[in-house]
Amino acid sequence: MELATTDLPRPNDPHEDFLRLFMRHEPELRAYVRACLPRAEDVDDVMQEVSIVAWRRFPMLAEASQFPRSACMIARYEILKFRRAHARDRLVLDEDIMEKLAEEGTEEISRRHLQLSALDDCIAKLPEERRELALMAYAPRTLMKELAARKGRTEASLYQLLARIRQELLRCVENTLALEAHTS
Amino acid sequence: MTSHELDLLHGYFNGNIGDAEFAQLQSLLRENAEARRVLRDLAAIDTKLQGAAITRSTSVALFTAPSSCGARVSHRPAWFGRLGWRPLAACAALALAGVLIRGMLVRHFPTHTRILARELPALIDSHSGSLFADVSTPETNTGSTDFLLPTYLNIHIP
Repeated sequence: MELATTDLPRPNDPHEDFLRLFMRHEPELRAYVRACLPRAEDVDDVMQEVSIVAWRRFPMLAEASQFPRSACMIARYEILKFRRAHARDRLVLDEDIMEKLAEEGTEEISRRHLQLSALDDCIAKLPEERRELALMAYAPRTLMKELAARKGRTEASLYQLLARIRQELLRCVENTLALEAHTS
Repeated sequence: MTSHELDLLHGYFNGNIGDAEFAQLQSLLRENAEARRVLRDLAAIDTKLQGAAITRSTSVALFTAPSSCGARVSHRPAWFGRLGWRPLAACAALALAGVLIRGMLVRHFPTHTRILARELPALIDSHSGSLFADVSTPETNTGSTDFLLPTYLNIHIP
C-alpha cells in the first residue's frame, strides 16, 4: 500500500511535533493529574483542557525538552481550576495539599516515565487471576458491587484485594527501578 | 508508613473512604512528604491499570464483535427459515400482477374522469346564477384561466 503525500512526515510541522510530544508524555501527565483528583472520570476532563492549552502555548516553547515541565504547569493550573469548580464535592483535597502534590509531582516527571514503563512488566508478572480481577475492576462501566457478586466476594473484600494488588505493583516497580539504577 | 496510613491512601483511590478518614488523610498528606510520594506513585499505578483495562476491553470488543467480512452473517428474520422463499416469491408475484392489471384498467377506463365529466356540470347547473360558477356560458368567461381547470369550471368573480 502506498502512502499518500499527506501521510508522509513533514519536517518542522508544529502539529506533528506537538502530537508526538503530547502522546509521549500523556501517561505521566495523566498520572500527575490523577494524584490530585478523587475520581478517575474527572481526569479526562482536565486532560482535555490541558491538551488544548498546551497546544495554544506550544509556539512559545523554546525547546521540546521543556514540554513535560511546561505541560505540568498547565496541568497544575487546570487542576486548581477544576478544584475550585468542585470544591464542595466529596474527597476533594484542600488546595494547599493539591499545590504540594503538583509541585513535587513536577520534579518527579522523568522518574514517572520510567515507573510507567516498568509497570507494564509488573502488571504482566501478576498472577493471572489477580491481573484479570484488577483489569475487570478497572474496566469502563464496571460496578464493584456487581463484580463482587460475580466473584462471590463482598465489596469490601474486593476493595482490599485491589489495594493489595496496587501495593504489590508498587513494590515491583520500586524493585525494578532500584535494580535498573544499580546496573546502569 | 503504617498500614493504616496505606489504607487511607488506597481508600482515596477506591473512593470508599469515610469523611473522618478523609480528614485524617488530608492531615497526613499535609504533613508527610513520604505519604504524598506514595499517593503519586499509586496514582501512576491507578492510571496504568485503567489504561490496560480500557485497552483490553477494546480489543475484546473488536475480537468478539460480529464481522461483516469473512464470516457470513445472516440478516434473515427467524420466520423466513420456517417458510422458505417459494411462498414469499408467489405472494410477491401476485401482488405485482395485481398492480399491473389495475394500471391497465385505469388507463383504458379512466372511470373517475368520466364520472366527474358527466356529473359535475349537472351539479353546478343546479346552482346556476350563484356567485361562484356559471357553466352554461363558458365563452363569456373573462376571468383568469391560470388555474388549469376544465373550461366548465372557470370561476367568475363579480
